[in-house]
Amino acid sequence: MSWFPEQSAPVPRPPAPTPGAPGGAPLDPLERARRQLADQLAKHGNLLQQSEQGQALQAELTRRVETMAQPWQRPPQQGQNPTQGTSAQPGADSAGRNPYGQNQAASNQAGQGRPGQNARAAQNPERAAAAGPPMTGLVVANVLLVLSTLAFIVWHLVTWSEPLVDAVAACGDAGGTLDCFTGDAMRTWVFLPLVAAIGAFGASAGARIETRQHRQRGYLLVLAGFALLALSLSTSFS
Amino acid sequence: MTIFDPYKQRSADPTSLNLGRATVSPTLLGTDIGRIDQSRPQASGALYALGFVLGWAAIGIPLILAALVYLTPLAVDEGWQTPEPVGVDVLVMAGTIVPMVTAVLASILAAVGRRRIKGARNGAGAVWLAVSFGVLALATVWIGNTTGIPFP
Repeated sequence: MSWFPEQSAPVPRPPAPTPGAPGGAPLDPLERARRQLADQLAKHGNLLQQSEQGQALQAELTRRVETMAQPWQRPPQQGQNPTQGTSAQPGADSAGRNPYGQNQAASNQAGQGRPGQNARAAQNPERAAAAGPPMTGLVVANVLLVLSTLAFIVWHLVTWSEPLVDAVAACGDAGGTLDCFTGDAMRTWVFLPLVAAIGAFGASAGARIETRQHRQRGYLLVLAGFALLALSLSTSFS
Repeated sequence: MTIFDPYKQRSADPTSLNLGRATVSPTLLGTDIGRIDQSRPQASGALYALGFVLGWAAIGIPLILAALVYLTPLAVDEGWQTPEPVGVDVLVMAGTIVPMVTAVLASILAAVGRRRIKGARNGAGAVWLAVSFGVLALATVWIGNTTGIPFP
């Protein structure tokens, strides 16, 4: 609006007073009570909706926290001291073995862990094992690998001992040297199966470590163990 | 999808948690094959398997070598030829002392390496395993050169 009234736009006039408008004439009390009731109803509806949304958010958050794989990735829980698992009297008996030398009672009083600090990994192996999803497939594959390695050893001894002895004896009869003990027959029927069996057991041990860490790459190790056995098998036949 | 990966994708979901840890999810043929938490080292199963094989090789190879060295006079008695005549000193040194020392030393080194790997210190474990392998290879080559056994 300008200082000069002739340049300013025409001032909009207030609308003519109607009987129902809030700024207009006084309502009759029945109408006013009706409107107040409607306002309160709308407010309650809004609150109800907000609380439902909040509950949904909370449930989603809880679900996500519970599906976290590793325990050290969880936020610290209330009522659980992250530095020491469960002890009834944390201040008195554990002040001496607090590794950081800080006042345990004060830190307990201050709160459970610092804000923004994640909970420690559980020292309890049972809890650590129960933290991730159970890797049943990997465990079954590992057991299968061990059993098949044992079966491979037994089968190999039963099947190839006689050809091996025959080959070495023939080599000696033919005037061979100590090469007979390190020749092709020994390599095919002793050394390579030995390496395959030990390698398969080693792959099984590595897969066990990966199982403990809940890593899917343990399947690759089990596969490598089976591949070693298959390689030795095919070399024995050829 | 992992909810811990702040670098992979940014979710518009207000309930998603980003705890600030750098994680990588390697995939194989489109399948998630685990999660690498870069702020917490994890033991390498493949390296552990290697240490397992090395530890047993440290026992088996000296055993086989000693057996071959002691088989040499037996082969002479059987009428077989030997690469070269073997003296008692060679028999004692290359057939007994060096294999025993090698077996003990290399297996201990490999065991230390395996323990390091199990404690998620893969680099130190690999160094121990390499030293163990070096001792084993050196002893094998020396025994082979001394007695003329064409083992490896």
